[in-house]
Amino acid sequence: MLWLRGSSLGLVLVAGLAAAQEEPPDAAMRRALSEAESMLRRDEPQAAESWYREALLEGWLLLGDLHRANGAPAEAETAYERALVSALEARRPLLALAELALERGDPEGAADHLRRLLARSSGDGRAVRLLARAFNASGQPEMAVQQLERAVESTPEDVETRFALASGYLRLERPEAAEKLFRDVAGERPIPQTWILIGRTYRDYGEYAKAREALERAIEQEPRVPRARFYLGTVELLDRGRGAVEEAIDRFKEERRISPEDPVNHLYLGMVLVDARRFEEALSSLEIAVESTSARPNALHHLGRALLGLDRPGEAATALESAIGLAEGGYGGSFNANQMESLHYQLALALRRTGDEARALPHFEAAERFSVALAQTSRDRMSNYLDGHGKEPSAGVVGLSVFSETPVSGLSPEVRGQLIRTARTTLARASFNLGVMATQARRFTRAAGHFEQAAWVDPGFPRVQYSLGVARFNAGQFEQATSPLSGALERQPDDPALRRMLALAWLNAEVYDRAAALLATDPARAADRSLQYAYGLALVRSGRTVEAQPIFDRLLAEHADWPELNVLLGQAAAQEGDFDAAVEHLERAIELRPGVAEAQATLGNIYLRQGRLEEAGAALRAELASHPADHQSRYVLATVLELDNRPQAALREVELVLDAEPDFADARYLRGKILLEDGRADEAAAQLLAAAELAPEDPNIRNQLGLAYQKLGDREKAREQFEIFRRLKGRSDQ
Amino acid sequence: MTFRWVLLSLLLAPTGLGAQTEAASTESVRALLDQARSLASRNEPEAAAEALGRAITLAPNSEDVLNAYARFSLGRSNPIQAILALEPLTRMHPGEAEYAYLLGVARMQVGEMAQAAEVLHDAAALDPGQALTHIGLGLALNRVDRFDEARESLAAALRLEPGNVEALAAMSEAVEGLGNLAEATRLADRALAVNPDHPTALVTIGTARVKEGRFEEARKALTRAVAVETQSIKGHYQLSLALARLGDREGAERHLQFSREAQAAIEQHIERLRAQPPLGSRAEP
Repeated sequence: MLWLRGSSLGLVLVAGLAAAQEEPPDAAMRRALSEAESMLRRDEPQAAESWYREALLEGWLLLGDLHRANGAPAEAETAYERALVSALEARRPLLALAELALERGDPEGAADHLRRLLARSSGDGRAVRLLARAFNASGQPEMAVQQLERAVESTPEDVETRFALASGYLRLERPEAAEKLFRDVAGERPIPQTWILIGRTYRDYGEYAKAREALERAIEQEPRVPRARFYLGTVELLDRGRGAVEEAIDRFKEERRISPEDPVNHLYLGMVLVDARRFEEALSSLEIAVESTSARPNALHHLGRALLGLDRPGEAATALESAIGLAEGGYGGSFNANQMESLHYQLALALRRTGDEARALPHFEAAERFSVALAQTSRDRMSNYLDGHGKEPSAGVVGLSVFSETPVSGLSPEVRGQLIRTARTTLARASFNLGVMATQARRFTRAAGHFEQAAWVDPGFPRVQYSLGVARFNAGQFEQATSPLSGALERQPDDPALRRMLALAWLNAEVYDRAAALLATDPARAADRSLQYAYGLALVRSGRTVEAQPIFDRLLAEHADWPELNVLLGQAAAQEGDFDAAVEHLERAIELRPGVAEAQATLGNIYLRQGRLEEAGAALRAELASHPADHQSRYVLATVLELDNRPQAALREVELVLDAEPDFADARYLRGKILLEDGRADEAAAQLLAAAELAPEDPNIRNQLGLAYQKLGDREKAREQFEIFRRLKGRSDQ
Repeated sequence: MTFRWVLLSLLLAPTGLGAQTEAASTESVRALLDQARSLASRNEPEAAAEALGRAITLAPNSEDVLNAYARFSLGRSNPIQAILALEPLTRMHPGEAEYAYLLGVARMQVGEMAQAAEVLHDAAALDPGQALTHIGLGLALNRVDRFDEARESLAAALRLEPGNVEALAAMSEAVEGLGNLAEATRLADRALAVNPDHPTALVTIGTARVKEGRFEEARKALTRAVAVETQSIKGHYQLSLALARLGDREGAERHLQFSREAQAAIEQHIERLRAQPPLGSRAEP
C-alpha cells in the first residue's frame, strides 16, 4: 500500500508509516477539542481559543481529505480554505490546496498557493517539489528544474528534493546528471524501495533498460520486496507492447503472490487479461480492484469490458455507466480521451446487446466525438495502458494520482462517512464555543462569524441559529439577524424575548410593517415605554400615522420630557407636512438634550425643504458635531452648500462622505455635478459613471453624465446618456 | 435611530464541558501574558520576550498572544518577528483593520513595499476614517512608483487631517512622481514650513531641482535629507545624480554606493524574513 503514494513521496513515508498507522485520522482533532475544553474549565481563555482553533484546523483538513477521497474536489477546496483561516499554521492548508489544484488540472492555481507558502518559507522542500510539479504540468520543465536546483543547493540534505531533481533532469533529457543523483540517493538510502523508485522513474521517462536494471537490483536486495515485479511488468508492456502480454501477466501474478491485496496490481493484471481475452480469469482481479477508491474508475471500465466479453451485457452496462459517472464527476482526469472513447463505445455495445438501442445511440455519438478529438494522437491500445507514463511521472493510466492518497484514502466509504459526521460535529462545536467566547468578550461581529460557521457546517447544532441571530443583532447587523432569528422563532414560537428581538431587528432593518406586526401583540409593550415607542415608530414609518397617534398621545402624556419621543413626533409631523408642529417638537427635544440624535438633522431637512439654506446648514453642522459619522446628514449638508453656491465647501463634505461610503450613489452624483460645474469634465465624468453603475435607474445621473460627455466633446456617448435619461424620465413621470 | 439591546444573557455557556480530560500543561497562558506586560513595563525586555515565547508555544493560535507578540516585537524595532505574528493574525481575522495596518507598517519597515500596500489597502477599506492608514498606503505606493494611486490615498488623508505634515510631504513626492514639479514644490514647502528637516519633503525638493537642472539647490536639499534619514535610497541616489552633474565624481560614487547599500539592507531584511521558520511551525510529518 505504501508505494501507491507515488514515487517521490515514498521516501519520507517509509519513516512516517509506523506513526501514521498508530493514530486514527481524527485523533489530532479530537485531542485539540479535548484540550480546549479542559482549558476553558481552567479559566484559560487564550489557551482554550488556541486549542479550539487547532481543532478547527485539524477538522477542516480532515474534512477536506475526506471530500477529496470521496471525489468531491469543490467541497474539499472549501474545507481547505477554511483550514487556512482557522489557525496560525498555513503550511498544510496551502500544500493541500496546491495538491488539490494539481489533481484538478490547475497547475497555475497550485503555483499560486505554493508561491504564497514559499514567500515566507523558502526552504520548504515539499513545497518546492510541488511547485516543480506544477511547472511541469504547465509545460515549464526548465522552471521546475531551476526551482529544484536552488532548493538542492540550499538544503543538500533533502533527499526527496534531490530525487525530484533527478526526475527533472530525465525530463530535460539529461540522463547523466540524473544518474549521478540517483546513485547518491541510493547510497544514502540503501534499501530496495529506493531502487524501485528509481526503476519506476526511469520507466516513466522511457529509459527501459535502466528501469529493468534498477528493479532487478531491488529484487536482488530483497527477493520478496513488493512492487518490483509489478513495475517490471509495466516496463515490459511499455517497451514491447502486445508482444509482452504473457510476460507481463507472469510478472503481475508473481506480484500477486507477494502482495495479494494490492488493488493496482490486480487492476493491471485484470486489464492485461482482458486484452488477452481471458475474461473469466480477469474478473476476480478486477473485482478486487473495484474495491479501491483510487483504482475504481479504471477497474470498472475493464470489468465492463470483461463482462461484455463474457456476454453479460446488462452487468457490463452497469459497470461502464458507473465508470462514466466517476469520470464525469469530480475526477475527470482519471480518464484520457482515448479511454473515454473506449468507455462510451463499450457501453454503447453493451446497451445495444441488451436491446436498448435508444440508450446506446448517444454513447456511440460520444465515442465518435472522443474519437475525432483523438485523431492526432496515438491509437495504440497497449500503450494506452500506460498513457501518461511516457514523459509525465503520473500514474494516469489507472486513474491514480500521486496525490490522491491521504490518510483517509484507504478507508471504506462507511468509515469515511462516519468520519465526516464526526468532523462536522467537532467543527460546529469548536466554532460555536469560539462564538460564545467572543460574545462574552463583547465582540459580536466576531461571534457572528463563528456562529455562522457552526450553522453552515451543522445547521442542526443546538441553538446555533438563535445564537447567530443574537450575535448579529448585537453586532448591529440587523438585516442579517432577521433570518436566523426567524428560524429560531419558528422553533421556539412562545419565547417573547426572541420575538421582541426579531421585531427590533426588523425595525432597525427599516422593515417597519414586520416590526409593527410582531410588536402589536407583545405583552410587555404596555409596561415598557421603549417598546411602545418602537411600536409607534414602526407604525409611523410604515405609513400608519393615524394608528400611531393614540400611542404617542399616551407616551407624551406620561413622558413629555423624553427627547427621543419628541424627535419622533417631530419626524411624524414633518412627514405629514406640518412643519410648525415638527419644529416645535424638535426644538423641545434639543432643549431637553442638545445632542439627541436626528433632531438637528430633521430640522436641517425641514429648513432645506423651506429653502432656508443658512439655517439648514447650521442645523446639519450641529447634528454632525454630535454625530460625525452620520454620513446622510453630511451628504445633505453638501447639498445645502451646493445650493447655497459654495461648491468648494460642498465638495469637501461630499468627499468625506465618499471616503467613508464609496458606494453612496447620490454623493458620487453630487461630486460629479460640482466637478462638472467647476469645469473639470474629465473627473466629473468618472464620478458620474461610477454613480450610474451604482444607481443605473437614476435619470438625473444620466443627464449629468450626458452633459459631462458633451463638454468632453464625446457626442456619441452624450447622445447615448441623454437617450437613457429620457427613457428613465418618461418612466418616472408615468 | 438604532435600537441595540445587548442580550448577552440569552447566550449559553460554551457547550460540551462535561467529560473532558485534563490538559497536560499546567503553565497559565494568561499569567504569562500578564508577566510579559509587567516585565516590559519594568524595562526587562529579554525576560518579557521569554514569557511571550512560552505563551506562543502554549497557545500559538490565540489572538491575544499573537497580538501581544506582534506589538512587543514592533516596540523592540523587530518588524520581522512582528510580521511572523501579524500575517497569521490578518489571515485569521480579516475584518480587523488594526492588524492589517500594523502588518503594513511592519512590511514597510523591512522594505516589502508592494506587499505593504496590499494590506494597507485592506486596512483603509476596513476603516476609512484613519488618516495614518491612508498616509502609510500613500508612502508605500510612492516607493513602488504607483504615484497615481498614492495621490488618491494621500488626498483621503488630507481630507481627514488637512494640515498633516506627513501627508503633505508624501503627497509632494507623489505629485513630483507624476511630473507636476511646481505643485510638488508647493506641497513640500508647506511640509517644510512645519518641519524644516522633513526628509521626504527635502528629497522632493531635491528631486524636483535635479529635474529642473538646478543642481546646486538640489545638492543642498538632498544633503540635508540624507543627513536626517541616512538610509534614504532615493535621497542618496538623487544626490549622486546632482553631484555628478556638479562634477563631484567621488561624491556621486559615494552616494550611489550608499543608495545601493540601503537597497541591499532591505533585500537582506527580506531574505531573513523568508528564512525564518513560521511561528509555531511544525516539522514535516
